[in-house]
Amino acid sequence: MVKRLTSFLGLLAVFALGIYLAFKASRLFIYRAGFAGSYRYNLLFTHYGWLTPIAALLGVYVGAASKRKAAVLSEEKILRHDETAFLTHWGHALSTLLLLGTGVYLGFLFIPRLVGTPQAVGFLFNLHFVGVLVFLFSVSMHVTDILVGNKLKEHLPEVRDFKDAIAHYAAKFGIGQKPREGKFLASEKLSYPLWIASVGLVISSGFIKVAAHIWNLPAGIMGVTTLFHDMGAILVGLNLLVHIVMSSIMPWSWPLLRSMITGYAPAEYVKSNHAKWYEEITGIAAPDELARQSKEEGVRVNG
Amino acid sequence: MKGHMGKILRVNLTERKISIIETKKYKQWYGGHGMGSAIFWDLCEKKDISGFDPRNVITIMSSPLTGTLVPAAAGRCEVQAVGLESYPTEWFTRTGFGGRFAPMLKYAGWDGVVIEGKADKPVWVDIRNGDVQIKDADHLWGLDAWTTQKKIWQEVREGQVFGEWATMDTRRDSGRTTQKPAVLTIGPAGENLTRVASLIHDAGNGAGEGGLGGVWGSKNLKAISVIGTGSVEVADPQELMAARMWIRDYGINVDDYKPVVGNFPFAGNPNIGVFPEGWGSRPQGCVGCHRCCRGRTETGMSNESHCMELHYYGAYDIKKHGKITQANMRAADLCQQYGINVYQLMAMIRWLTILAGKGLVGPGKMIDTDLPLEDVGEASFIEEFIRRISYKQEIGAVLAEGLARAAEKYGRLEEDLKSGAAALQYWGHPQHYDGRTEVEWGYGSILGERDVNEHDFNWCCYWTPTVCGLYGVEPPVTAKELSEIMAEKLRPYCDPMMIDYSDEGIYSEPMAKLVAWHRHYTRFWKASLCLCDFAWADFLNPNGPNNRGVTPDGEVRFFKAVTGQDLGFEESLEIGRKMWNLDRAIWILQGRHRDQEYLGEYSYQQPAVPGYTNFEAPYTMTVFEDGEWKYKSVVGRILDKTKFDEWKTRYYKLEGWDPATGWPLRRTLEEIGLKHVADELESQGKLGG
Amino acid sequence: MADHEVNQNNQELSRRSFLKLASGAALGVAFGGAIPRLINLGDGMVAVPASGGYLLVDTKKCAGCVSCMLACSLVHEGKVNLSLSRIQIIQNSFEAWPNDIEIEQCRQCTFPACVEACPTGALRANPDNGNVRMVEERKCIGCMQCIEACPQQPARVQWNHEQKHSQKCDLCANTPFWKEEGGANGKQACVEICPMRAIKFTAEIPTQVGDLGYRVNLRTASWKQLGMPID
Repeated sequence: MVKRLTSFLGLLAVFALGIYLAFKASRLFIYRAGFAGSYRYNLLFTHYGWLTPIAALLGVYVGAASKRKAAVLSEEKILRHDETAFLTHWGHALSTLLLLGTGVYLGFLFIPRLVGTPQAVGFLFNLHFVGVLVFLFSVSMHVTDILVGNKLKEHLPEVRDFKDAIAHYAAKFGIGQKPREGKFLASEKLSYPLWIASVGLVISSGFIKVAAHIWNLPAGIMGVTTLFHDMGAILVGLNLLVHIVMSSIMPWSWPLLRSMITGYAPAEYVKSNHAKWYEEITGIAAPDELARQSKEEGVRVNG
Repeated sequence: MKGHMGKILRVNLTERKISIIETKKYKQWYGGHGMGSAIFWDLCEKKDISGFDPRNVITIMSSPLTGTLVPAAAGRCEVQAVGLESYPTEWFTRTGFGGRFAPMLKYAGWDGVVIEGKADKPVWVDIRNGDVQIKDADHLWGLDAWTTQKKIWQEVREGQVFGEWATMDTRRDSGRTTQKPAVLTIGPAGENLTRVASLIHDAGNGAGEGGLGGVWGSKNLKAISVIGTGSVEVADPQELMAARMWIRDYGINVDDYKPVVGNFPFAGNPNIGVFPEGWGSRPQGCVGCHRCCRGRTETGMSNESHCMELHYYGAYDIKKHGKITQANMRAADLCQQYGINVYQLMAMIRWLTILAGKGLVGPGKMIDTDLPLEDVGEASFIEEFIRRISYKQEIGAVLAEGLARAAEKYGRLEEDLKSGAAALQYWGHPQHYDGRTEVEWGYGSILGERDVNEHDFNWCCYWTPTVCGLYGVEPPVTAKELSEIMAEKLRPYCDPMMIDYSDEGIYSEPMAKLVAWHRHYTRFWKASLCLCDFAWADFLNPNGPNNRGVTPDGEVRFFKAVTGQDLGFEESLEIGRKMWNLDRAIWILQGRHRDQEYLGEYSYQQPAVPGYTNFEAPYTMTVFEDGEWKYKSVVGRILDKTKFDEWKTRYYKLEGWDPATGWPLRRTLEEIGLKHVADELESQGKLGG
Repeated sequence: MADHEVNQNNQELSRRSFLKLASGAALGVAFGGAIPRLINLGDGMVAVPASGGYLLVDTKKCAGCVSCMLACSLVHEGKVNLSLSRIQIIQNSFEAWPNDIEIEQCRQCTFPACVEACPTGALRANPDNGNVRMVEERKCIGCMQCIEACPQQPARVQWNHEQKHSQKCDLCANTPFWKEEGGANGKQACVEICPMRAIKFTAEIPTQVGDLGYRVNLRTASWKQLGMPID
């Protein structure tokens, strides 16, 4: 628990420092001496753009260095989200909220510009920059961990996941039987490619936009890039909306919300909702699985 | 059709409520006057009310062309309501003004403003784009028109520096502007409910006729302020630019001025103010104007005043001092600051001077006053005169009713109208141009409800030959050529005889056509599309090919460039006819009958000579006599009442009105889409036929 | 490989080690290389080539009809909007001539603060258009530094609140709604439209200090004939 608290406080500290620096940098200062009306502020994207690949590299390093933990701890609870998961998830969450919030306030596509003065614009751009750094760190950490641990297959959906997802929710309304799902629910796996696509879109277009602060890129490319960045942002926003509703607002997900904070989910919950994963980690078949197996295969298993 | 912003602001002062009228509901009326009359018809149920009645409805309308690059059109605004000035009936009337108010209304997203009801205490309306508020005006009431505007500028731009970009609000992309709010306001003359008050905008834009300043005062409405950051869409921007460059050659080239003797509005000089010699100045023009007829001076005096504001007192100034002095400048500024109609002032001073010559004016005399008439021509006199009228003090209490009602109060009206001492030639409105000589002016005014103040034929058929005569030069075209130009341009009639101002011609059928053409053209193009009287119509233009001006091609070309609509010129006159008939119906509901339609009695008794106004010269006009066209002096003419009555019958028949009453026939109204108007007239027993 | 196994296999371990080493080294290099930049953050004042054209105005001649403002927004945006005009006329009806009107045009400064302030090069001296200082709208990120950087009052760079980007006078280089050829070698809408001919184009660099370079006398003998002063 200590480690979690530390990493969360660390995140908050990074944001706090970032907000402070973003604000300071956005204050206007006299730019051209001798011309009293000539002002400027410090756009962090311009002077500190080089921090973006560094944030990504840092994420790679931490992702490579982090050790993953075993799942089972006791009969009552199971470790669902270890410290690595905690850090990547909340790093993602807070930075995405900051990025979307600043992006909306600055205005894009059909979203009107809420911001007014150039100083406010500068502040929001700088906050966006802070979000970019933490976001890149989190994404790189997650991607490194996934690739290094060969866990991509686990996250990506299979064909049966379409059926399982429908069955999963139908069962909540009393229709049909709950499917046997793994560590990641079918619906989660189905959403993963959407995350890859939308995040990939914003990051790749984002890198080009940062590069435009250093090199002179053609206007046509910038127009298209900004459009993709905007569309990607909409997609991320939609993904996030669905995610928050499904993971935090719907009561059936609250045990998972708790585990995303504490790390632990009740064993009963796991047995009931992630039957396949439960079987994998404990070696014990879930009761209904026993019944099913005995019915279908006619094999007697000692309980 | 582009050019409309889509919504009209509806302000109910009684309930202090704001609502919206969709412009498309009235889009068949295009804008300006047409829309104003149509909205008045719908919203003012009882039309024979006094102008002071809270049920009176005021419309302040722009046109689709407002705020765009259409030359000498984009800046103007049309205001209508039941007026206070006309006599004996307070007719539903119109008045217009220029500057930047109507454009700013459109930039704020509004095609116009409608005012209903009466506020319980003084208020002003604050329009900032779509955000409209009715605010208390206790701190503004009592201030002159200029001080009011400066105060409102400060209030609307509170905390922001003039000359810097100001954001409308901080909520969203609300727009930024460097411009000051455009304000329309009344001065003391309107606040104190005189019948001769005007509406003032900036330094010198005045909606003067009809006494609408008093109508605002009766509603406790002090001012309307508007600031906007929006766009007016144009159907064909490339064509609008091309059209604007096309007319450039028709106007004068200020860098290569080649004076031509005569009076050519479209090709007129900029800055035609009359200032003391040696005074530095610049021209100043309404939004989008190519001519820029007003000016601003090195003292700031008489800024944006010109023409009548500088003429009504100018002759007296010259008489007193031998030349134009600051007294004339002061006279101009005073009428703007107090918000008072200068035609009335001019006629009143003349009337008092004439009566004083008969020994009738002075303390204890028939016109009991201590006005220092010996000081006429001094700044002190006009200051005192305007002050007394505006505050209804001493003789001002009577004169505030307008010259007609004032003369009536003294039991002098009939006599003074007969002699011409009271030069009130049309419905108690002071003579502007003489209905005995330039008859289309007089006839149009009496068939309407006020001094028409539409110079379309005045410039070329009267001023140009008259001025050329005074200078001893030949006019740019012969009278015959001018009649040919008119025949080309006065579609659909195309009758050269229409500008025959001979003693026969003025009672003829072609003259009926001229008046009809004039009413229809001005209703559509000038009062509704808001083309400026100081440039349009352009018939005779020395810069044009064969001296021909841009009318009617210019109007239609600009209209299409802005709106995208292919409106034929003949079609436009038909719409003008529809508007004219709607107005006619409103006046009929107010009690109009042919038996009332006579010019001031002196027109039938006294010869037409200069002296009824401060600015007319002896009338030389186009006449067709003895089988040929010529420019001839028609000085000394007296109108024949019987022939005038015959002419009226000709005119009514031409318009499709009942000759017995002057009321439109049902088929006339129905064929122009006014069946509902015919029904209403019939229900009141006032339909022709 | 499920992650509940505490012992990762050798392959994974070596991947992790490699990545740790590689990223750590890269970080070191990056930070090492970044330190000089951290210390030396001066803006390099690169010389910007002078514009091929300038607008000169006669504020005593102007009639305040704002035709220039209407034309400017019309040819650039296809609609009329005073807030979107790249030349601004500021007037006070109640002031005396000549203090009643100011013409605020872009000066195409030889040392353009707006160009230097732009982080993405959207606002630059465009070499394809006579080095006119103009905004490439698709590259504008809306940071508004150009507007703040302009030393003139009001700023000669505008915020286009409808299209959401900065814009400024480009000497009509980019006028999709005008048939005429614009730019430093062409015509300007405001110059062509002004009925008082109070705006003039020149290719000569005006004096940059103060207003005298940009406020000139364009009144001819005609002006005197029309009854107004030419000094």
